[in-house]
Amino acid sequence: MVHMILKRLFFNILIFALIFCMLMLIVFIPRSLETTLGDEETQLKGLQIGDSFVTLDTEKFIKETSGYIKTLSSGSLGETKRHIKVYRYIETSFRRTLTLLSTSFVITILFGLLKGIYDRHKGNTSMSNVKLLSTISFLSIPDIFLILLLQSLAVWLHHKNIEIVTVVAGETIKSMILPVISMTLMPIHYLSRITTVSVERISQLPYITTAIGKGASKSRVLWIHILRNAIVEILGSFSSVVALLISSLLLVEYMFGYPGLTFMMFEYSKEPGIIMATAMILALIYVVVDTFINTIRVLLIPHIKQA
Amino acid sequence: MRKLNLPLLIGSILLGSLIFISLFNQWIITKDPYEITTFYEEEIKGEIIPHHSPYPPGDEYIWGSDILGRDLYSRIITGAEMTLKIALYTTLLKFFFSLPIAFLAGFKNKVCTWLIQINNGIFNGIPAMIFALFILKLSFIENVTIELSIFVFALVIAIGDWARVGKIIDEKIKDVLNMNFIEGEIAIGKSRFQIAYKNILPHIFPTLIIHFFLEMGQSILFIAKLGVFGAFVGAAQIYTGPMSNKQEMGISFDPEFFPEWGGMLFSSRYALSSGRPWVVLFTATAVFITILAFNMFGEGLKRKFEH
Repeated sequence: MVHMILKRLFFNILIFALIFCMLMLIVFIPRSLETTLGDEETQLKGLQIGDSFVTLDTEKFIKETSGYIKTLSSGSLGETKRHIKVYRYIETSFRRTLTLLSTSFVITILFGLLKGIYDRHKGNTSMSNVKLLSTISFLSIPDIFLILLLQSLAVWLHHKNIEIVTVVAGETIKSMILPVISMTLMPIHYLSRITTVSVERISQLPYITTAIGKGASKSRVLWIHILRNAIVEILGSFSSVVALLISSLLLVEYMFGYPGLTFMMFEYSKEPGIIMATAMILALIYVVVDTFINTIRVLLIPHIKQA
Repeated sequence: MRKLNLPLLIGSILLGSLIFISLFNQWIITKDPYEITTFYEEEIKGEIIPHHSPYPPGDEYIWGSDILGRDLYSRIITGAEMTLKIALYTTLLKFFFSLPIAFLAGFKNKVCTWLIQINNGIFNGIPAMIFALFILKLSFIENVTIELSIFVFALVIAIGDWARVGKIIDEKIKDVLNMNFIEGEIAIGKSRFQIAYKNILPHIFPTLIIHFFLEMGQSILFIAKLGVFGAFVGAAQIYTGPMSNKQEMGISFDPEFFPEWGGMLFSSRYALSSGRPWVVLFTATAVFITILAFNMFGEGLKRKFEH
């Protein structure tokens, strides 16, 4: 058991290290590389005189990346070009992103599980056709389309003097409604689908027939016999839910003007320190959540077997 | 009575229409998709009414116009071809990368198994969108020709997203390898290559076809999202003719030149903040319908093969 937890932990540490290296490569590479015209010297490398090609100042690149690693090892996130500490930019935006992410995560889990349980097969083919079509349709809605629709609706409501929601996101409940809907609609359908498949599979196992034969009530069979076993499978998809939410975060924060981590990343696209810090925090959130979910899953497996 | 495969039917109709639009767009469009008209006058009941772009949907411009007064209907119809072309290249490249690696991983090649796992881990932790945006926004990549730009886009998206497809194929191959008849094939002395070519490939072929269509939808979604953030094919080519002053038009971005759905969504923030949602809403709807078409067709095929 400990072996399984440690294995996942080391894997996630490796993932985090690789993300860090990849980010260093793509963030510190100059946004506009120098264009040089080919001369007699470059002709030897197969280029024609007068041909333009891009060159990378490797010395500058190495100096900047090693400088950043030194800053990080001294326990600081570095400074911006205007000599303001990166931490000051990150502090508030991290709290905002965490609020949005955790709210969306709880809502996704709650509604995803409930929808999945409700959607389980009841033998009605015409209904299952409708359910399949609705699930495919919901999963096909691009987040950009949904956001545009919701924002247009909010503008229309505003013109009608109905102030239920706001177009621009903020920290009040009213202003969080639209971003949370935009972020959760797709993950809810993803989780509900996984729940339905898992519940349907376990429902067909012989011990469920035995439980029904012994006279257990429908709710007892569902909650005690089916869900208790299905939860291990469903828990495995929680990491993917977090990954989906993080990927939606990018568009939601940008379109709703929500000043969270990814919003800062675009606002300060010329500040490598801010970009590195925001991206690393996002990766850290995923790695921590994935390790935590995996640990719970591993701890739950023997518990269920004993039961 | 045979059960009607509704997703396949709807998917086929939508996909057929999309292919028709892409092939015969010249017959369907009503205006030149590149024609700029920032001002026009209309005579209604003897009164001359001036109109400034962007024009709302009406008799002259059925889906309205963009900021430069280009007909959105004609641009969306024309844009289907280029958007589908990028999505097709992206999907083909995803399969090109993932197929050999997944086959080797299926035959328990540890390096390939790790490659898929690590790639999935990295792009779960840091959205592939961030990776793609940083690469595609490098000035020397933005400045390449349109033909090369399409290929670079497809390549970058495929690099960030191939492992998801790889994981699906790898799991399917492992399922087939666990089937009883494989033991028989090994017993009669077939080599791994022969088993892969003669036994596994025919078994996983339906899965490949299904996921090809589902991935086409995913690629279109990726292209659309990149467009919102200003990463689209041919971004370097901008309109520089008369009436191209951004300040006069009240915008802070360079509108896209080529009719391609991703680029057309770049004005999303402008469209909403200026209260002109039609500038992007019809394009977003086209993206939604296209993703729906591929998802319906893919799910429909899945149902058909399962039966």
